[in-house]
Formats: sequence, C-alpha cells, structure tokens
Amino acid sequence: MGAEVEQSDERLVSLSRNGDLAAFNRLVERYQGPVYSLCLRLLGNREAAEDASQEAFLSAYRAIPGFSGTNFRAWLLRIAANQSKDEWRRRKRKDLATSLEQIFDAFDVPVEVLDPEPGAERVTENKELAAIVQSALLVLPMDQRQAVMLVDLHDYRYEEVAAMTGASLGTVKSRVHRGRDRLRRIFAAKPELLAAYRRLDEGEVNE
Amino acid sequence: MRWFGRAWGHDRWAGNVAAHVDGELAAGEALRFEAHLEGCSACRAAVTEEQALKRLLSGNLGQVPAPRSFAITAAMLERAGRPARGTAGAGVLAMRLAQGVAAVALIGLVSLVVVDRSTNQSGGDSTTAAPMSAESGAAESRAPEPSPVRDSGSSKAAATVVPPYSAGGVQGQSADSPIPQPTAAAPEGSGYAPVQPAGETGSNDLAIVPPGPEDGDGGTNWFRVAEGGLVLVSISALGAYLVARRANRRSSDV
Repeated sequence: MGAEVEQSDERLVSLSRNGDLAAFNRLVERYQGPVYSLCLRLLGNREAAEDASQEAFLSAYRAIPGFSGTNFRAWLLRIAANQSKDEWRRRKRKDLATSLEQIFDAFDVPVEVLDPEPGAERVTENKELAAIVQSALLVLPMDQRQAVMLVDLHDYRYEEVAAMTGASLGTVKSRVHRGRDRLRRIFAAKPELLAAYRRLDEGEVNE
Repeated sequence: MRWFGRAWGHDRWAGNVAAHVDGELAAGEALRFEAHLEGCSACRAAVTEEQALKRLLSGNLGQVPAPRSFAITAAMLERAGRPARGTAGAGVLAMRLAQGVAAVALIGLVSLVVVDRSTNQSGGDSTTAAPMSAESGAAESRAPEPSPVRDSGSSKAAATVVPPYSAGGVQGQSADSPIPQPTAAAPEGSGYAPVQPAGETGSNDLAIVPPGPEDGDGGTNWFRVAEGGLVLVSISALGAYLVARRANRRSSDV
C-alpha cells in the first residue's frame, strides 16, 4: 500500500546488493510465483521444483552484488531456468522423465476439452488436460522446453530468451520451432485437443 | 520442388511459422510471409495450428502460486556459505578432489616407473628387464612375467627370477601363486633390488636382492600391480575431473 510496500525492484535490488536480506526477501516474495511456476513447468515435479526454486533464490542472493542489469525479473528467471536444468540433470531418470507411452496412456483418459462452449476459464481449469500438456512438455529436450516456456508462458521475446539462456537468436528461434513442432506431433494423437483451441480462435478467448 | 498443392516457396517459409506467430519476423520478412500466406493454404493451416498450440500451452501451463515461502533465512546462508548442497559448490569441490587425486596418482606413477626403470638398468640384467611398455597396461599388472629363469648356477631351487618390477611384495606365500616360477633364494649377483621391502621375511639371507617376501613367489609383480593400480586411479580421477568440470561449467553460467 504505502510507498514502503511498493518499493521498486531497483531500490530493493540496490539494498540487497549491500547485503540487506530483508530487502532481498521482499523480492523473493514478489517473484516466487513466477520462479516456482517456471521450475515446476520445466521439471514437472513439485518437490524438484521447490528445491530448484529455493536454490535459485539462494544463488541469486549470492550473485546479486554482481548484478548490474535493469531487468531483475528476467535475470532471476534465467537463474531459475538454469537451476531447473541442473535439477533435471541431477534427478533425471530417477523420477522426472516422462515417456511418450505415459502421455499416450493419459490420452486414453477422457479429457473434456470439448465443451460446446469452451470458455477460457473452463479450459484452464481442466486438470487432466493440464497434466497431459505438462507431461508432453517433459518429452522435449530441456533447451527446447526452456525456450518454449519462456516464450509462451512468460512472453519473452526471442532476443531476451537468447540473452537469458546464453544462446544465439537463431538457436532460440530454432529451439522454439522444433519444440512446438514436436509438441504438435505429440498432440496429433489426440486431434480434438488442438481442434478445440482452433475453435477458440473465433471467440476472443485468449487465456 | 513442389509446384503443385503448395505455393511456390512454401518450403522456405515452413520454418518461419513459429517466428511469425510469435511476432518475431523482421518487418520486411513478415510482409513477405503474409504475402505468401495469401496463396498458400498449407502455411495458413500451419499458422492456425501453431496459434492453437500456443494457446493450448499458455492456457494449461499458467502460473501456479508458490507452495511455500522461499524467503532466505540466515541459516540457509550459513549452510550455503559452505559449498551448497549438490550445486556448483559441491561440484567445484568434487573437481578439486578429483584433480588432487589424479595429480597424486600420476606423481606416484611416474616415480614408481622411474625407480623401477633405474633399478632395472642398474641391475643390468637383461634377462629380467621387462619392457617398460608394460606400464601402459593396467591389465598387465598381474601378468605373469615369464622371465626366463636365471640360471645362476644353482639347481632349480636356487634360481630365483626376480621379476623386473617386483617391489617387495607384501606377502610371500608361494604356493598359491598363479605364476609358476621357479622359486628360491636369489642368486648372488643379481643386483637389482629396487626397493627393499619392508617386510623382508627373509627366509634366505642370500638374497641380496630379491625382495624377500617375493622369493616365495617370484611371479607377483608388485611394481606392476602398483603401477597398474595407479594408472587406473589416474584415469578414473581424470575422468571424474572432466565430468565435474563439465557439470560445473553448465551450472555456473548463472
């Protein structure tokens, strides 16, 4: 409410840089939603996502004295993306990886996307569908998954994603392209899925 | 070249559908793509499909609230001050450790080889001088060295072949040695006792040379065993170092 509460990122960042933990924790509070969401989407597992998020904030706190950019959120998400990548590598094959078979099994479960009047809310609330989309995402190689997530969920421009992931613009473009291509082929096993979203095209339902 | 069914130039654009939908084509390129779309139903369909997919993703993978607070506590920092659990900190530690082990093992290996070689040469015993090349093969370490028996005059019992690399075995039982070699007291004259084994059990005082314990079983080539072991240790430590370094590099680009 007060100006106190609404301190800008810049202000909090500069306080944090001088070791003000309370200031940094304000930033944590502000961004833990996006950070955790990104980790969860990239890892598909709550516990792993919590670990990655916590580690990401810790790394960020340790690294913040060296942070000189202006976009704290992007910087933080970049750390979270890298942390998720590490966590994925660490846990891979143990509990995170999904196989196409698992996804196709999930396809056998009736998924109600096809309500006659699909509204954005309805669609978003659909847990089964969300689970399918999530596990399909886990089939992608981590780099593609990161690129698709950062572009489609966090609305970053390719250029920003390139800066965040340390890849070239062309690489990001190709990762997004290949990632979505792969997803499209996965979802082709359940044509109604995309059909529903194609139909949404006509309405102005855009999430 | 596909001239039918798809507009000309289709293939050129197929890879740009995602970028187009994301609004990432440069202005001029975007105009040209749109012009192409006019005449290419396949690309139009691809664009529609891409939009639907994008919507499917963003509609189902929205933001979720954090399940708990990730605020940082002093205790965490204390723990993290030391190399943090599993992350770069531990990675660096692992890297250093592997580096250290590799270095020690390599130094050990080199000195062993040097000592070994010099003793061999000073021994001047052509019959027993084993080829140094053996050191390259860890698998060789136990290889029975079929060094010819040195007939220093005595009966078979007297002819001890001192295997070139024998560095004083630790135990000198002979019986079950897999290496069938004549055993016995060492011949005088064989002057190449490399390292006098600590545990000379010395059943034979004559043995100027041959590592005592060994005289029981001339075969086990302790130099080789040690060298082989060190080669193995160095290789695995180097491997571990490389792996750790790679992992660190990946995780450190934060």
